[in-house]
Amino acid sequence: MPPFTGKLFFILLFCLDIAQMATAQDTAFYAKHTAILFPYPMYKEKWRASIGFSLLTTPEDITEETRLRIPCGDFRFLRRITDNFQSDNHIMFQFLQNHLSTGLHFVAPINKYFYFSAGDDIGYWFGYLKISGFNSQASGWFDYPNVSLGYKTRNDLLISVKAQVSFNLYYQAANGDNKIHSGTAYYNGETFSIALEQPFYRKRHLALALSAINNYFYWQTWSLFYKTNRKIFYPQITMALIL
Amino acid sequence: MKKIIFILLSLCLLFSCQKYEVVMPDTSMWNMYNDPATLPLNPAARAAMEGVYSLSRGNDVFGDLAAVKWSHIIQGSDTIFHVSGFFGKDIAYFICEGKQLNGAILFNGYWRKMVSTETGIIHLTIGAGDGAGLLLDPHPVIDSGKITINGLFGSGQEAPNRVITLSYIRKLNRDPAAFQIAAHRSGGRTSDLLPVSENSVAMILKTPEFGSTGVEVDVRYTKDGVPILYHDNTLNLREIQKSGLVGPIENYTYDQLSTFVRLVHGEKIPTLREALDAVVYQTQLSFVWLDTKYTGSIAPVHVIQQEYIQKAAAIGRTVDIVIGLPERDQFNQFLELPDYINTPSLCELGVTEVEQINANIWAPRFTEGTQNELVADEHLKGRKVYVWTIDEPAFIASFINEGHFDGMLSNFPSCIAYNYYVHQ
Repeated sequence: MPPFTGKLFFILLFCLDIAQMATAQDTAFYAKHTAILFPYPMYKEKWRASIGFSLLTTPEDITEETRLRIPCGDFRFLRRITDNFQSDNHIMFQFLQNHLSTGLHFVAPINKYFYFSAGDDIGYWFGYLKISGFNSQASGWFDYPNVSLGYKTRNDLLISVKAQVSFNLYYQAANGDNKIHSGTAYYNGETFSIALEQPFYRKRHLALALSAINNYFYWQTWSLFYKTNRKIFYPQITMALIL
Repeated sequence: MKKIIFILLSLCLLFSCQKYEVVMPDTSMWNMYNDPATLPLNPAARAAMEGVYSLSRGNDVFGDLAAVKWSHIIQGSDTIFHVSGFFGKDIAYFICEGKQLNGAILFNGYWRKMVSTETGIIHLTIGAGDGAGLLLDPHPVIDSGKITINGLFGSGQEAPNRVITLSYIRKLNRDPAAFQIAAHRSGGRTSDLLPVSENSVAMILKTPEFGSTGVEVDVRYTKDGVPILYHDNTLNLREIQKSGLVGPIENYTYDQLSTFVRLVHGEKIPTLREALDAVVYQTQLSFVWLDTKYTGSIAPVHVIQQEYIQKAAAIGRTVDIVIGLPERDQFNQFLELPDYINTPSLCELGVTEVEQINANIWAPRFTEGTQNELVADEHLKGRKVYVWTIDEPAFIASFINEGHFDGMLSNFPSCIAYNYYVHQ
């Protein structure tokens, strides 16, 4: 049995419990909501989407004086499944290395101000580096169980906090004709994020998220250094325009 | 809500401030090993016990096989011997000193996993009936199953309490002289949490314990033209203790650096001469890769290179000291040397440049793969090929098993040693 099955079971129980709490509140929230990270249910709309970018800072003790700040395109779209279930799809793209994820999220209001979501995403990443001195490619699979709590202020500022853990399911890499792979799943680390979403310009809304990523391996650094059993801290900032 | 945000931000800070360090265990507490009746091991016993061992206990922590090998350094009038065991799991190794006591052989030291901060004390014993009798014979002959090493290991400073058993199965599989196990930055990076600093004399003296047979060092010039060992472009807290000095190292004279700057573990920044003195006179290392981190004339380094090749020869040693040429600028500077065609060099550029300067060694980056056909071509031209810098254990194994290289550079020389010596 995968090590995270038990955790998922408890998350599911928690979701069902929250769903019961939320039933009485639902009628108060039947409206369109412009938010992408905030755990709003999708009562009226089928889709929500955002486009933006993220900036990741590489760890100084590993990448040394080459302190990189890696920009990455960020496209996310949500698809309504039921009032309380939605599909969360996320593409992070740097062309030479990219990450796609999709997952099912349970989303529900707790009361007038607080909202909750829990879900699980599956991610696939792949990278190519074929320039002078490099003939490398790598790819892998991740699993991301996560929970979010949202707080809606009286003046339309949406604050959400998200806790996510990741499990590395599969990794393969090749340099020239040398290939390695690992199918051993392991706990990879955790990410805590805080996001603010608010009106920006002409009915457009803006999302700003700060993430503290604490991982053994992070896909954006696959070409830079070897995965260690030390968790490495990566701060990441994400800005997105909600479409 | 404020409380929740505060708690989450605190969690973020908690994780982001997590500090990793390796606290080296105190290995001086084993009473039996400290017994005044203990005697040093003879050279024949040390040589005979080198080999590949299988693990029947402790393999959950270290893996199923170990390559056991001795190394030594010279300190003044003393020669200090260490026995190292290189394992296949998590780049684990043990490093011990050895003695004999009442017909048994004792090893006392520590173990470490290079992919984490795990370490601890290890005590090993070969009983008189487990092979010590054979090993202590003046002319030991060892076969499979004739040596059993029993011992205990612990975590951190705790007393050893977990069992490890190693059984001799065969000799080390390859001729150590046929393949160069080169340690990056003289032994490993600061981020590898070793007890000594990268590019220090202390690291040069330490790295044979990790299985290294050669070292790569980073050479720069001080303001007054003294070649020293230092990697980064600037003085920074990754490499040195707080000193008040900032900016490029080339802005400071050697006296200023010597007086005010200490590496992260307290050592002085060594001059190239001090480093080569250590290699030639204190170790058995047979290869030095002088990585050219400076811009400007290579001539001062060339003079020192020639001097130390001759010094090694004068004491009957062969030490290949090569000038590393990582990029076009350094390559062009190398062409300015009057006798560049006969100057030992290692070129990281393409084979065209390698042949243009008659480099002794071609050093392609591992990210281009094994390139066996090109490697074979260079071998036909009498040239060696070293690959750099491989730290991923699976790739180290793959390049040793499938490649035809003459040497390999890594921050984890113990991982190369394991794969090279255990490989059949």
